[in-house]
Amino acid sequence: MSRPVIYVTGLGVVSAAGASCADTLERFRMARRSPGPATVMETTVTKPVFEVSELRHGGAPAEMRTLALAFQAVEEALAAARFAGRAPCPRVGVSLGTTVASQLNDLEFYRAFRTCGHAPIDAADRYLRGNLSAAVALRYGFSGPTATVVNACSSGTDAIGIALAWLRDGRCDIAIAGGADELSRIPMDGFHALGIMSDAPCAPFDRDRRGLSLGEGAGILVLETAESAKRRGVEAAFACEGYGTCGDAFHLTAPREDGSGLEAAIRQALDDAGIGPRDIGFINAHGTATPTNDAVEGATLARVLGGDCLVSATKGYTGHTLGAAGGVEAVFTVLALREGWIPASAGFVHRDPAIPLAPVERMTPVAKGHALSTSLAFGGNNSALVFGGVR
Amino acid sequence: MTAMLGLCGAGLVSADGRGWTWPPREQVKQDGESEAALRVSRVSPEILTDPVALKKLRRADRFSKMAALSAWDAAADAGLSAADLETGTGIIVTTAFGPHGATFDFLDEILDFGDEGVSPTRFSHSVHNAAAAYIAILFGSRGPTCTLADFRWPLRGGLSLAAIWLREGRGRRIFVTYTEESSKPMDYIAAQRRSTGADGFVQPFRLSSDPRAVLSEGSVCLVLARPEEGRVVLDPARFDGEDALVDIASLREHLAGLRHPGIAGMGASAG
Repeated sequence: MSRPVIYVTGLGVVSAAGASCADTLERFRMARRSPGPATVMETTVTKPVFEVSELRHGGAPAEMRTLALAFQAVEEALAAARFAGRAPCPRVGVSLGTTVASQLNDLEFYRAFRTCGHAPIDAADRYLRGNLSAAVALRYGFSGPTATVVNACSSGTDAIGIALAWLRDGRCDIAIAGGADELSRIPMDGFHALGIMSDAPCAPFDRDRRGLSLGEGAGILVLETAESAKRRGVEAAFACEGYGTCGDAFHLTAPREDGSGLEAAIRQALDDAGIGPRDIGFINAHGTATPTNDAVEGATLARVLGGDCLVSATKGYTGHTLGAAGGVEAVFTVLALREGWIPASAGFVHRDPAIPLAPVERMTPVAKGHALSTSLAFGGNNSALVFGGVR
Repeated sequence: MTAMLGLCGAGLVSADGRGWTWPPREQVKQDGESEAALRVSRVSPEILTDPVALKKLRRADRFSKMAALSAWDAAADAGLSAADLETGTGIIVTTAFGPHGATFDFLDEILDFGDEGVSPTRFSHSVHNAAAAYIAILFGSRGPTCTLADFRWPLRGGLSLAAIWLREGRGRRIFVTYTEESSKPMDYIAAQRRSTGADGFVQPFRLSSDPRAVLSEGSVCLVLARPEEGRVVLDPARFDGEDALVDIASLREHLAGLRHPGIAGMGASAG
């Protein structure tokens, strides 16, 4: 029995690379990036970050910044999908990934509690209202299945994989999928303690890379069954074709050096899409710019897909947006398929002789066939998505 | 529509103990709290020191240890060997609040030592999917892992995803763990926003449709497979959230890992 085709009918994105898909493409064309000191959090760690400067929903004290980022991307995606989302929508699911929004990590709340045994409860209320998928579902009246995936840096990719499965399984007709995350002092201090943050804006796959830069954002796809899109009179040019995920069972913060977990995830995603490695036109690589990630990922991609495969590494524009990264980069992948080009890999200057492939140095045409987006995460999660033109 | 699941085994870690050998229930009163304040049941530290099961988890946080122990016992209850676990195993951890104890430990470090004096280990344990990673390491399992956070119906989401993974062939057996830990700040929040039983206790694993409900601590793990492979067939639709553990407790005659008076007690009090 053939699997149902799952269309991508809407895209929305916000990151330091732009406040919308159009804005992002414009910055990609100009190869412009805008890292700087953190202004949305206080910390003595002075590494450059990639902040979102145009946040339309920002400023409500009762709302997590992650939600504001998510709402902005969801609204762009829903508009692109021509879906008004009038409640109730029982056949619309929400599957989103995050990290920061899942933690009760308000330092001022905790400081007060630690000092005197009680604290203003508004921080806790903000947290309790902040489950990402539940908040999006509530705001837009979507009452289909919900999942908030907290798989660290592969959260967004895995959330899209779950949404794909729901749609194939008939659990909903439309799914809002992707991820969102805000800049926060906790991961900033934590990654600094791990010694994997760069003093300069990150340089994925570069010979002289010194680590990651943190970012924030949201990337949202509206995924939809062909029947639903047809019923609504919406045409789609691209589909979410496959998903794979495998664990390393190795270490809490480091990938397996042989990349076997990532390789298995990629092969699963290709099988799921019914295509082979040579059908992939380009890869949006995880490319965090840490020495270990890029070495393992680069070697694995070259082994599975060939050293001549075109690689796009976009964290040089966005920083590492953690739980949002899979969603943000899935949007970039579909945009690249749509536009027929991938952007120059910001920050990449010198090829690393230890890595058997390199990301593109300039805006590069790509075939409108199939593309792969990869994510690696704390905990040894390796996940991959395949997107392609509607056949 | 969620497919039926075959239930092959279960493991449980709670304030009442672990497996068949249970120490007395430990009811810990918080330092300085009044009689009217919230009482919370905690898992005894002695339970989380198993030298065999936790050999690879010595540095793990409390949340991860509870999750891993329940998964270890569930594997034993299902009769799975170490070789069985290495292939075809999927791991799903579900939770409402995650490893907030580790997060608060990390916040302590920021407050005590500053932003640049924190421990990388404490940070890595504060990430929600650390427990799933530890279970994968414990089993040597290279299959899929996923952690889901949901204030309302965590277990239901895990069961739903397990059914999908089984149907898609991502695993032959899926461990679905539902884990919560308590901590003083969370107890405080519970006292402000609590949902308690008639005896004044936060009800362990009792989820309310009110998303402000706060739980006591523990972990339950179910080993799931296709319906024909289970000792009993489980309908995920039954797990609507309100009384998830009551539903699990009703299966205890089939599952050695659940055959414990504490479960029956919870079922009775939550019913």
